[in-house]
Amino acid sequence: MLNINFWNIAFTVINLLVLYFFMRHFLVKPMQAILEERKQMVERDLDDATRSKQEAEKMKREYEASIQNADAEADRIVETAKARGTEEYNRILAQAKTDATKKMEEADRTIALEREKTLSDLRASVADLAMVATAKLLAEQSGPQNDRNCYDAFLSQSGEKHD
Amino acid sequence: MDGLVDSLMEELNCQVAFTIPIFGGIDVLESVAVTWIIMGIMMVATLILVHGLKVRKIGTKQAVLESGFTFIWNFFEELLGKEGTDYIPYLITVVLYIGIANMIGLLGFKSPTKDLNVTISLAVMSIILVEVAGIRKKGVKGWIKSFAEPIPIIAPINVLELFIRPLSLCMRLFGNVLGAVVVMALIKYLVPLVAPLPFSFYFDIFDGVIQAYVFVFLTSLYIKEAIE
Amino acid sequence: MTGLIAIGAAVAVITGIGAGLGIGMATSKAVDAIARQPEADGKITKALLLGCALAEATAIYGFVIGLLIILFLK
Repeated sequence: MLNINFWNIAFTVINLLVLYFFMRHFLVKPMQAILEERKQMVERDLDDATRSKQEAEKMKREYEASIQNADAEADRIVETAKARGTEEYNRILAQAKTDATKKMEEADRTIALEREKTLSDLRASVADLAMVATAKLLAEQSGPQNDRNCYDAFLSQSGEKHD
Repeated sequence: MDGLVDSLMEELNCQVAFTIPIFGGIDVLESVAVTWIIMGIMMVATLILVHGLKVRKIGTKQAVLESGFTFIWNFFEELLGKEGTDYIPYLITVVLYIGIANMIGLLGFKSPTKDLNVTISLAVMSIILVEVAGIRKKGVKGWIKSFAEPIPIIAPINVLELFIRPLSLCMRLFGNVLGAVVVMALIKYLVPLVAPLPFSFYFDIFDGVIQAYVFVFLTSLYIKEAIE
Repeated sequence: MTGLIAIGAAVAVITGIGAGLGIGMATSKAVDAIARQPEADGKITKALLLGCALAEATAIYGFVIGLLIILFLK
């Protein structure tokens, strides 16, 4: 039973050493490599995630600030537009008023001119009429009855004209 | 009774597997042959399991392998501390070897740890590893001085412990396996039918795994003490 | 002569008493500890198994010596 044989001990030791080197090369090293690589990848992903989150926060803050600015800007624009609108309205109103007064004045002037013209035409026709009457009178050469007839005739004709 | 003694002797003795015809015939015992078989099993299993390792999208096989490996690695790292991670591959090899060697009885082979040579070589390698760890950490002078700690009077006991530790490791493993073999032989002689089955399970699996665990645990404890 | 061999082997195996007592006491204390704090039972079980394997070693030494005495002393 106690067969202690030096060569067997040597063989067993050699076997164990061979087994140890084999296991270390084929099992421990690849497993450690994979675990290490995965740990690196996870850390890298976590770092990327934190950095992206920080950038997102910064951009969000910037956007909020610019949105607030945009609101103020919009209010200001509306104010200016309103002011300009009122001013324009007033200006147009004033212009319309001046135009209206000018047109009325022009109309008055035209009416006056027309009246003058009509009056002058009237005077001219009256003068013509007088001349015709005079000619007729001269042609007839009658007495005062004729004068009175002429005057009546002249007045009635003038009255017609006036009517 | 003679039949019992005969069968017992046959179980206890180590037979010669074959002879290498150099140096005047070196006997190669069967324990070395079974060790070759165990090495073959372990190497083939390793190559199959490590075949297609990926970083993402791992399959079930790789997940199981990784979880087992991480469990064993963390277990040893807890024992040895951060500085002892160089020695963990050897301890993993030894624990797997002794575990399978104790359980090879289930497959019908004779366990190599039943042979005193195997346990002696295991114990000697362990103790050399412990001393090498101590020398690497402290240097030769520091290692020699560490024999005088904590009090110089204990120095002979420390030197004696250098020889007692491997002896106790070796005898513990050998004695456990020998006891298992003797009890199994007795049971097989007396009640050869169903009774050997649960005892075989208990001795081979439970006892074998615990003995492997104790062997490796004590070695790592010694290493930790040498590294301090 | 065989009588003395037998007595020698019997005395060698008496070391089993120490292992039995020691492991019994250790197990009782372990059960007490588990009863007191059930969530630590993993660590307690590990320590118990370790202690039992180490304590059993002395009994095993005695057994091996007894076997050697029987087999090698004629």
